[in-house]
Amino acid sequence: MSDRDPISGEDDALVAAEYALGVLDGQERVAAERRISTDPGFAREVEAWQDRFDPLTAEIAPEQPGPHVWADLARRLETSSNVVELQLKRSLALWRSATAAAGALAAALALVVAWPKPAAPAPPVLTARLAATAGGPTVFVAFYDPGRKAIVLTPAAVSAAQDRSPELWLIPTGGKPIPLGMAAFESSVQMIPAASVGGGTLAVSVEPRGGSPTGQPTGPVIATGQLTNL
Amino acid sequence: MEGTADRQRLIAALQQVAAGDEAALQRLYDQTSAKLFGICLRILGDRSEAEDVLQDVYVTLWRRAGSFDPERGVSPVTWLAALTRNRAIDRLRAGKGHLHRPLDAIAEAADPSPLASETLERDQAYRQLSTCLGELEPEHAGYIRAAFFDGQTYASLAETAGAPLGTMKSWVRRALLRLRTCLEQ
Repeated sequence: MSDRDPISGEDDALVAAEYALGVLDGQERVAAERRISTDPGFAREVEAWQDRFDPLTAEIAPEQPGPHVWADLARRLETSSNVVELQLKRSLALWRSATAAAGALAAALALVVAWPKPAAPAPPVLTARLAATAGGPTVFVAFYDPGRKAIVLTPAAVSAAQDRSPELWLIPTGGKPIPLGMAAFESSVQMIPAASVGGGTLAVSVEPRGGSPTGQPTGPVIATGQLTNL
Repeated sequence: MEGTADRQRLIAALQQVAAGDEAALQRLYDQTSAKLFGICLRILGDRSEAEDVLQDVYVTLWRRAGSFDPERGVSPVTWLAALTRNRAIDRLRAGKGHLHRPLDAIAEAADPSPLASETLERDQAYRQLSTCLGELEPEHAGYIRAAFFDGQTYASLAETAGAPLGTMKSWVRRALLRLRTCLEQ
């Protein structure tokens, strides 16, 4: 009798099933996880198996976690941005100067669009104030000039580790984040995104230099803001 | 738990969480934490460990919720449950080693508890999976259930059953192949 397993040809397809079920351990589990992030076909196979097993979760009775879990979680989120050594400088002076700078920039952009009058009324300049929390201090100010299809993103009061860069995303209502371009923590950056910007929410995430490797935000989102007509 | 409206609401919440909306994270937590905590507790068997893993899951969602892609057609509940199970399994493996549950505990796991009321679609999927598991050798179905619910590995299953590792692998693989064939019918 041969010691070859007669189903060894299926082994590869079965690794996805074994990972989804959870029977793999140690190196085999780590290798399967690595493969999920590098091999989309394998990742889909794992998802298909997760879907096959999922009905079993209906046998597990739901259970309320203790109320302290949410409270601890909220506290951890507050500090999780420190992981990238991000510091929102909440000083009033900076906040004031940022607001003043934003005002000046708004006035300048308003002039740019107001002056050369096009025949048709120009679509409105959009602006967004991006903050870490609703009503919190402004972290970035964004202006979108639809005539030039350009966004200027100005940091107000933010800094981060040297090997990280802020990336700007557009989140259309009910859609996935669309990358608009790389920004900077120290200076205003103008970007001409490939995507059209008509409204929605802007978000800035902290990514490795050069931008998110996946095309979707991978680092913490440090500020968001709704686009509104100027 | 997952009608079309619920599904849309969950997808929207995941996207808002990806955009850094803390209120959306709270909504997501309110909608899903009981189910996900049940999964953590089932695998880890320890309330405080389970709460720890549950927190990790939501911190992960907060940082990387963008990795849920609704266009791939995966249900958000399935995605969340799989993510949670994997986190709980990682914690179990990182801990004091496996819980070696005696065989009668495995047999006991084969006795399904009453279904929580879910949508028809999920009920049907559950019935189909139960039927297909029922067509396997009862011990083999028991191994699959023990792996799913208790986070058992090939090694711990082999030890519990007193079978060589290679034999256990071949039993489980054969069972997985038969399960796939049955579910695809």
